[in-house]
Amino acid sequence: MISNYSTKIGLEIHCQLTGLKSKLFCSCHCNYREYSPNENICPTCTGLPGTLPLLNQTAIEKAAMVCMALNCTIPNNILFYRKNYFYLDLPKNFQLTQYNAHGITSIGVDGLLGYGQGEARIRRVQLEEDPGRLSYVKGSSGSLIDYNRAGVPLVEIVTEPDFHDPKDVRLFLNKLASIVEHLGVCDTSLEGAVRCDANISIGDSRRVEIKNVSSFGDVEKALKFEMTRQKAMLNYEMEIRGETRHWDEQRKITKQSRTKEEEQDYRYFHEPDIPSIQIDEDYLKELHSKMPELPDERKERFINYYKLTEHVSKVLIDHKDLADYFEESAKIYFAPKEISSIIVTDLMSYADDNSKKLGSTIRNIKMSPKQLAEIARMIKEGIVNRKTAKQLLYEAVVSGKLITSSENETNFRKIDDEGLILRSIENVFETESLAVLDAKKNPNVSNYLLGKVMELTKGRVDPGRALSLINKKLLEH
Amino acid sequence: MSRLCDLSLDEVTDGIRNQHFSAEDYVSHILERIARLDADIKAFVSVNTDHAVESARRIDSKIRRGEKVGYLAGITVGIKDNISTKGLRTTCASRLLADYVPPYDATVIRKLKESDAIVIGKLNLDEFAMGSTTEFSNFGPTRNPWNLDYVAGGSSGGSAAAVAAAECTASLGSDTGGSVRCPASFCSVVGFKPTYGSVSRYGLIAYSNSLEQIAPIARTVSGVVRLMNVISGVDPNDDTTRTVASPYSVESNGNHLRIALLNNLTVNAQPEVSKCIYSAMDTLSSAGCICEEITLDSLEFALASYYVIAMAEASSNLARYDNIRYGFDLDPEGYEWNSYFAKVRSNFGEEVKRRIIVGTYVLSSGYYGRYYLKAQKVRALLRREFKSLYSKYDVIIAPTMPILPFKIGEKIGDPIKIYYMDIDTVISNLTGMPAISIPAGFSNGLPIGLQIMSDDFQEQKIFDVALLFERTSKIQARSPL
Amino acid sequence: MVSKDEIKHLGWLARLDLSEEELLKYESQIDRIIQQFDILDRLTLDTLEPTHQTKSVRNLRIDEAKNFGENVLPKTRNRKDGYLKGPKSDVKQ
Repeated sequence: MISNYSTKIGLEIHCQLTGLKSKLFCSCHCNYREYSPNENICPTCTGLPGTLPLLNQTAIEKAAMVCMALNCTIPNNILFYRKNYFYLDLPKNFQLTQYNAHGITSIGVDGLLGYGQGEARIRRVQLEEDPGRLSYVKGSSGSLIDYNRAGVPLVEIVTEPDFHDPKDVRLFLNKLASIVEHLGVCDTSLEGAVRCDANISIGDSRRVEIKNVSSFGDVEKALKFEMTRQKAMLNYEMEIRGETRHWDEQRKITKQSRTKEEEQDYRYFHEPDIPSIQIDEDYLKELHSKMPELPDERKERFINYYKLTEHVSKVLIDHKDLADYFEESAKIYFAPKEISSIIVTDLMSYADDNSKKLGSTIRNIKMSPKQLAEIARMIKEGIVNRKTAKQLLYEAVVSGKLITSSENETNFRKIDDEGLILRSIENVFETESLAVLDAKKNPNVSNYLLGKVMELTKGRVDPGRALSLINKKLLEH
Repeated sequence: MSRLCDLSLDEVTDGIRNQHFSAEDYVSHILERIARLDADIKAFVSVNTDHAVESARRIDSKIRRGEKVGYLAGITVGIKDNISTKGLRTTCASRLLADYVPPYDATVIRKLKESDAIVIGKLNLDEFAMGSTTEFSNFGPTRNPWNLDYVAGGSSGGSAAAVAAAECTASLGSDTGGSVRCPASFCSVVGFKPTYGSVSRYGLIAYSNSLEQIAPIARTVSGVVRLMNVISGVDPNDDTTRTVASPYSVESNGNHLRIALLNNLTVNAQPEVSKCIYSAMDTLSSAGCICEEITLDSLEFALASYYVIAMAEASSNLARYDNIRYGFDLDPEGYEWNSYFAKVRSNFGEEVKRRIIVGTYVLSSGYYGRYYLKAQKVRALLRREFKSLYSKYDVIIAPTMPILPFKIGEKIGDPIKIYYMDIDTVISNLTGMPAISIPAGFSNGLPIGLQIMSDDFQEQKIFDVALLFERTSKIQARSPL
Repeated sequence: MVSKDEIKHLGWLARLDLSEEELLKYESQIDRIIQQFDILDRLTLDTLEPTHQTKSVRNLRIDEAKNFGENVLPKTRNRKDGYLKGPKSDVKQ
């Protein structure tokens, strides 16, 4: 029997620093997604002869903040190295990275991140550049190269193999995503912004690497699949090969890597064009003081200041977008319980079933925080009842319009005036004389009458109150 | 007096500014001389005729209108063909860059243009600056103007020969292990390698980034000083540049400076060379300098360290030449990528391939500590030792080359013989410290150069001693052609 | 001793197509060159660290985006719909 505890999983995560304006070593735009092929390039990122890398100051800043959030040690000097290999998407046929086969010179080491159920040690955090992109034309025997993405900054985070369960991996990655979102370092919903490789070994078996998982959501699936595959093999007493496997996103399986992952000799050496970068203590102190609020700190604040529950707070901070939306709304009208409840309950139900994260729901929602605040106010002040509120909510989410002008408000306001209610009931009694007769014999029919009253008043009366008035009138008749 | 083409840099700028002659006349004279002589010398890879004439006319108009012109107004500068010139083909004398036209100017080119210097053309070199004789150029060797059967030196052979033959006022080359000082010595002109970090490398097509600097060549020390005043300085496009002590002066006096002669290097030089250098030391003594001989044992590790580092960096710097973005005409469709790359890159010349292979070897896992890392430590060792020497001496002198120039083809079959030519010059590249080569004499009509070295950013001391020597030495100022 | 096979492998690492003739020529030459490097074995230098130039993080390039402004790569060389054409690669998307 193979117990879960003998499973060891480690992660290698790449996040693009989408929060930067320019690339890591040149001034081309960091956000390359809107450009036609080879329109976001310059001599440096295309590796033209004679060009030199110019390290981006803010990239160090952002990477250092990630290190601090992951409790890493940041050294006083950092270096960059060349990883020498040939490929079509690599303009210089080497990649500039901080990985050094001979020692540790990256921006963060020896960190630790707790994720609720456990904690994982962070081996290192480093900066490196993204290569360009390859694509293909069906039927042609060549490839197409686009350098727009070449040189975009990446932060690589490598953990120790401290995970034993794919579920823990998911919790960890959610936490990490929340952290990089809160730091303004990476917008994890952008296509290609995060990638994750995982390595897994069961018991004494050899390690298998899983590459090409391009969303955090799929990592758990890939690991579950791989564990199932390996356990099945072990049950049949088959040996597990130490190899690299690719995650097939479409078929949701891992498969053998088709290219022979040759023993690559990357011939690392220090990049002579980039001096050793000095990071002084004062710089780190300044950085620490201007660091944005981290998710854990924000959660505490939600609990203490807004008096939200642990559960609701956690749902909100798990996605920075939701937390921001909540706070913006609460600033306009202070009804934190109401607002957070609507977000967590109602808005969640509007989430597309296929959307992988709740965060992106907010992107598709047309309702503004101001409109949500308005709805919350109307509920809290008793201007509308819950049913109307739900309609208003739906309308605003879908169309972005909230009918709040005073003349239209009267169409939605709760009707409290008993005289008005009675008149509505009388109206219904006149038109539904047959039902009224029935109701005298059958108490259930009064619900039918109630329905008609609600229809007439566009749902603006309190149903309980209306029903008791109806029954009273029936007795009088 | 002499012909227009023989004028020194100072004489040209003075003459044009004071309207003794026009820039257009000067440029025409130079272009005509190139047309007449260069078929034999082969210093030029391309000549920038139209642009040169246009620039000259513009300068003349400015002067006629009484407007201010730049510090180097009207001088014609040849540019080694591994320095990027916008719109002008830049080949590194290699097939792998046969069709490459840079979309940007190197920083030094921009600075030259801003001071109204005229880029007259691109000059021949050993392919990718790897060599000491310019025989490894894809275009064929440049010949020594002093004797056309002899090598001009390298890798900046075209840059030195063009200046010696008065085909331009001055030139820029690059010096990685002696590539400007060597041809300057062989062609009897002044060539100067600045302190590492004083001149921007942005636009210099890399051979060995931690060792090389763009380096000026002129017929006089003053010419080199003027060029340094324009091209040196911190550049935001090059993070390895440092603040320099420019502007440098041609007025200050070197006659009380303390000089040491590195006799390891004279001992291993040809007797004629050694004799000439000792004679130079006497000249300097007579002029008032305090001269002494010293020996430095650690120098025996310099050549190996140089080649380990240079070849290692080269193997990586040249990886980008895969014909996808620049190169020559070969449609990639139909090829598998590894085969395509290998086929394309088989077009490198023999010496380049050798260095790439050796460079790959010394960086491979298992060898990194033994070769590359060790060589980098030797640099630290040499720096420490030279720093200590410079607390006692102002400058250190030595021969530039251990040998006299030799006939074309004589050493080409033995790469190691060619590597040994660098034995006197690699030191300054390893330490990063500055060094100049100035004409020191002739032996049977073949030039000999004197090398003067100093501590980081102390080039003024080098210039002082060089100017003193230029003034007081008995070397006849003459032109080869 | 650097063998012909090693040179072939190095050629592969460096993507250089070497002919039989070249392999033979380089075998002896390169072996001799590397032998010249053996002089470095005579030094220990354990206490010495390679010196690196240094630069403060505060002096690095400011994060600002700008367009290069002109054609970086010639529009008519080796293109297809704006992409650069390359030979076949290994992995199909």
